[in-house]
Amino acid sequence: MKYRIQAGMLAFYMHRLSGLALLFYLVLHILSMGHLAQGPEHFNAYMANYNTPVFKLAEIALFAPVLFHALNGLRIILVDLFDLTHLQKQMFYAVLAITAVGWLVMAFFMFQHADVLQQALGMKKAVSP
Amino acid sequence: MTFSPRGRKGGGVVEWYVQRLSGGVLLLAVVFHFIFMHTIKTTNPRDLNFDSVAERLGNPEWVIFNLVLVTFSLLHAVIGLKISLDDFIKNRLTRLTALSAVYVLMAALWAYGAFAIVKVGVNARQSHAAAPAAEDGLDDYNAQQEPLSDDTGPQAGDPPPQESPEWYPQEGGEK
Repeated sequence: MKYRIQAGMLAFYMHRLSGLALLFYLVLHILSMGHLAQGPEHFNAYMANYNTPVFKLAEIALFAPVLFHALNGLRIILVDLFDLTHLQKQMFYAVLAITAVGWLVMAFFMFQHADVLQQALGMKKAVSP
Repeated sequence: MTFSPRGRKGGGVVEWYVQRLSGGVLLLAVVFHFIFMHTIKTTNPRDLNFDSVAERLGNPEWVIFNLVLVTFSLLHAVIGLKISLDDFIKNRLTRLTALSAVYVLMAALWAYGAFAIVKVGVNARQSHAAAPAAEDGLDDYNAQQEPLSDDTGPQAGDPPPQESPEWYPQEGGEK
């Protein structure tokens, strides 16, 4: 039996999917940042491994689920607090729109700072640190 | 408020509240953290290295902020994962085993993260206190500057200062 995907179902799935993805990222993030406790030389050497174009792209991509989960969560809180069930659909579309725009803006800024990524795309000459 | 959730013990009301409270805190904290780390500080090695992190963690405000981040995010994540696993795993024993493993692993992860934050912060403060006053590279310049006057102030062995003449007649003096 197939259900027609409606806005509420989509919101639920996307919220859960983004949440689980962020959880996966969170575990990796804490595990890698924990290397700070092992001192400067170790940490800097370890973090140098993350300075690759693929990783920089992944970082840019990460902001989309962060923003969506945050804004959709805010929508849920507002609907609960202020009894806005009648506005759920519009609010969800607003969440999607703000996520898209916010992510594009942030991606632009992050791209400016991602030297390794720019070099990989041939946009910047490699400079010695 | 228009809602007043009540529920039975174990019905999930506490999780309901905690998710929303931690979610609200994280909304501000995580988005700030992301934007800060990727635009103001960047993740390029010249900007994100041990020293830049330690410099910030030397301040108690940053330590508290990072502890808030790690605590609330793991709390929010564990409850979210619990809700998801409750939906996905039907078998009672499997579900309880999985949830127990999740709780233990997440607690260990929290301890690992909080320890790293506090350790770097404490070390940064200690080395900051032990080091001489901030090297601003101006010591040579400052030493080269000529004093503005030759007056080095009162020295031992100088005659005591004389009473200065009264500028204004005292009360009750001659009119």
